[in-house]
Amino acid sequence: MSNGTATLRSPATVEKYSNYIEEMIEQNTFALPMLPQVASQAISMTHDPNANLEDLSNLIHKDQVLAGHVLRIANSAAFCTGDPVVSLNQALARLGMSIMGEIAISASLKKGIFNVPGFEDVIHELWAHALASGMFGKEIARSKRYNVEGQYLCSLLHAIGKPVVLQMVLKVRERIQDDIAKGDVVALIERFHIRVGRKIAAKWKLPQTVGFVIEYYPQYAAAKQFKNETMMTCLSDEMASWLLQTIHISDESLKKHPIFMALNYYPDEVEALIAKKEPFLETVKSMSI
Amino acid sequence: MSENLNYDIVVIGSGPGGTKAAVQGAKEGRRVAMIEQEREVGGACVYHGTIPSKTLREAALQVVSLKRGSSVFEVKMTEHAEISTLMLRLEEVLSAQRKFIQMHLGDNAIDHFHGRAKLVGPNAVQIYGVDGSQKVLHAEYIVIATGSRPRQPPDVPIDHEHILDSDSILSTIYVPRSLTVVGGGVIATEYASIFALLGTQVTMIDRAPRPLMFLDPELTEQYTAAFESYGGTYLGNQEITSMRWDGASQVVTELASGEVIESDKMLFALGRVANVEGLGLAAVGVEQGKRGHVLVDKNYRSNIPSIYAVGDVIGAPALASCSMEQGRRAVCHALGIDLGYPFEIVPIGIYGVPEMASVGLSEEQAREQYGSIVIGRADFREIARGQIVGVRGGMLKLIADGEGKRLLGAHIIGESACDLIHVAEMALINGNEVTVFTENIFNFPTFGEAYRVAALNLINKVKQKKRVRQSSIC
Repeated sequence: MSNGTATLRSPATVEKYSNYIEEMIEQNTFALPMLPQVASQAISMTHDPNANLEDLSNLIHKDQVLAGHVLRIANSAAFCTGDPVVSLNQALARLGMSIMGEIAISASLKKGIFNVPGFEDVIHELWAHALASGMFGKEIARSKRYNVEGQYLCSLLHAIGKPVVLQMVLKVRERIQDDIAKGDVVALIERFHIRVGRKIAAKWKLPQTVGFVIEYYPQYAAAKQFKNETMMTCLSDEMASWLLQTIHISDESLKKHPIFMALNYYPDEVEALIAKKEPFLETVKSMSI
Repeated sequence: MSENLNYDIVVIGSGPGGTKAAVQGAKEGRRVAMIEQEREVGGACVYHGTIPSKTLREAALQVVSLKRGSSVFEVKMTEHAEISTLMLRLEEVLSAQRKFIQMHLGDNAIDHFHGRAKLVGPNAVQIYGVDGSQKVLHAEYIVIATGSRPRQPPDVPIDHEHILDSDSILSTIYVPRSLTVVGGGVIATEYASIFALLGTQVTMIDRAPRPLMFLDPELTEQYTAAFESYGGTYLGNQEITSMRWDGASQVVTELASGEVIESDKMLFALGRVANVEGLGLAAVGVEQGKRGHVLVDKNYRSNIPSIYAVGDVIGAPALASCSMEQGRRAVCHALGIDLGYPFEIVPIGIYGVPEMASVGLSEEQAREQYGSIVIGRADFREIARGQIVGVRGGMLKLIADGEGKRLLGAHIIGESACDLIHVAEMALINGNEVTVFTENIFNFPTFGEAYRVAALNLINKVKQKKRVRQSSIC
C-alpha cells in the first residue's frame, strides 16, 4: 500500500504526532501486540511437521468467534465448490490443513491485530492489502520456482507494523486530544510501519526472512540477503495496491514498475500475473469478510 | 524495430559451458556476445544447483560435526531450524561467483545481453529483452548453452509447496520432519543424504535396485549404509502408481507393491529437461533427440555447421565440469584451433554424504574389457588422517589389469573423494602404472595416502597370485 506521497492536510499535527510516536518507538513505551495464539500456532503448524489436522481443528474450536469466521470464509465463493460447509471438521477435510492454516492465520490476525475501532475503513484497507499481498506472494513464488509457503508469510506479514502504528496514533490522540485527519494517519502509518514491523517480527519470533523483508521490501536493491524474497515481497505489495486500487495504478503504469525487470519478468509473464486479477479479487473479498 | 549487431561468436546461456565458450572465443581475439535470459550470469549451476546444494551440504556436515563434539559441548539443533540459517553463507558465495563471472566477461571484452534468445537463421539470433526491446545479433558461429531445468511430468503435481523440485526445495523455510525423495540419481542421492543428516526422516524411492546405478556397487553399498545410519530408507525396485498431496497434511505416495508412503514434503528429482523452448531450433533446422536435446557430433557441432551446442542442453553427462570443457572445445573446433588432449576420461563427483567419486572403468567394465583384473582397496579408517578426523567409513578402490600394472579405474567414497579422484585421473591420462602410487611420496597424514595403501594392497594381491601359481607349478 503506497501512500507515502499523499499530501498532508495538517503538517504541524502530523509532526506533533510523529514526535510522540518517535519517542514511543525509541523508548519502547508502546505495547507490542502479542501474536494471536491461533496465528502463532497455525504458523508453526503449517511449517511444523509435528502438527496435524486434529491439532488445528482443536485450536480453532477453542475460539468460537474465530471458528465462525473460518466457516464463513470456507463457505465463501472463493472456497466453497459444492454443498455448504457446516462444521469445522468438514471445512478442514475439504480445504486441507494448508489453506485452513492460512485462513486461521488470517482470521486470527484480523481479530487480534487488524481491529482498531474508529478506523474501520483504514483497517479494512490494510487488511485486504495484506491478504492480496499474501496471495500474490504465493503466485509469484510459484512462477519463480520458489517455495510458496515462506513467501506467503513474507508477503502477508510485510506490513504488519501498519495496524500497530494505527493503534499508536490512537494512543497519541487520546493523550494530546488533538484530532487528526485520516489522510494524515495514513501518512504516519507509512512513516513508521517498517520500524514497528521489525520489532513485531522479533517479538513474534517470525522466520528471519520475514523480519528481513519487512525492513527491505521498499528498497530491495539494498538487501544484502534474501534478495529474491525481498523483491517478491515488493512485487506482491505493488500488485496488491494495483488489485485493490488503494491508490490509482493503471495496468500500463503497473507494467512499467521496475520490480518486474528486477525479478526478470518478461512481458508475457507480467500479463499472466495480471490475468489473476478477477479470481484474486474474489478471494480477497471472501477472506476479508 | 530491431537493432542489428555483428559478432564472430554468439553464445546463448551463461552457465559453465557458455562462459567457457565465450571466454575461449574472446581469448582468440574474436568479437563475442553472450545472451542470458536470467538477470544474473552464471546459470542454474550457480543459482539453483551445484552451488546452493553444496552450501547446504556443508552446513549439514557442520551440524554433524558439532553433534559429534557433543560429548564435550552441549549441542542441540534448535527445533524448527530454518534452512536459511543453515545457508547464511549462500548469498556471500553467490555474490562472489557472480562477481567472478562478470569480471571474467568484462576482462575479455565479452558483450553481455539480457533477454530471451531465438534463432532466426543459421547465423542470426533475435533477442527479446525483459523490457520488451528487440535486437538481432549476427555471428559466424552460435553456441547454444542454455542448460536444463528439473523435469516436471504432467502427472506429477509439483506445486513448490508440498511437492517440490530441486529448485524449490532450497527455499523451504523449515527442515521438514519427513521427506520422500523420488529418484535415485545424483540430485536425489545428494539431497536425500543431506536432509537425512539434518534429522529428516527420508524415504528414497526408485525403480533401480540401488541408487546411482552407474557407480561402482561397493560405493553405493557404503552410501546406502551411511544413509540408513542417518535414519534414511532406500526403497529400490519400486514403481510409483500415484503421488499426491492429500489436501491436508501429507504427501501420499502409492507404490505398485501396495505400500503407501506418507511424508510432509516430497522432492521429485527424476531427471532434467533441456532448455530448448523458444530457441526456434526447428525453424532453423537444428536436429533434436527424443528428449529435446540438441544433437551434436564429437566436436559439439549440430547438423547446422555454424551452430554448436554444449552442456546439459546436449544431454549426458550433464556435469558442470564437462560443460566447461565442451564449451572450450566447441569454440576451438569452430575456429580451427588444436583441441589438445583427447577428451575421454571424465571424473564424476557426487556430493552426497558421504562424498563419492569415480574415474575410468568400473569393475564390471574392466572385467568385460580385460577379463582378468586386480583390485586394491584402502579403508579410510586405516589411514592416519582418517583416524585423526574420526571417519566412520570411506574407501579408495583401484582397478588394474590382470598383471596389476596398468591402472584402469579408481572409485572413492568418503571425505574429500571429489578432490582425491583427480590424482587417479592424472595417472590415467598419463598412462601410469599402479607403482606410481608406491614409488612416490604423499603428504602424511593425508587421505591421499590411501592411494599408496590401495596400490600396495593391489600389488600384494598380484604377488600372492604369483606365489600361488608358482607353488601349484612346483
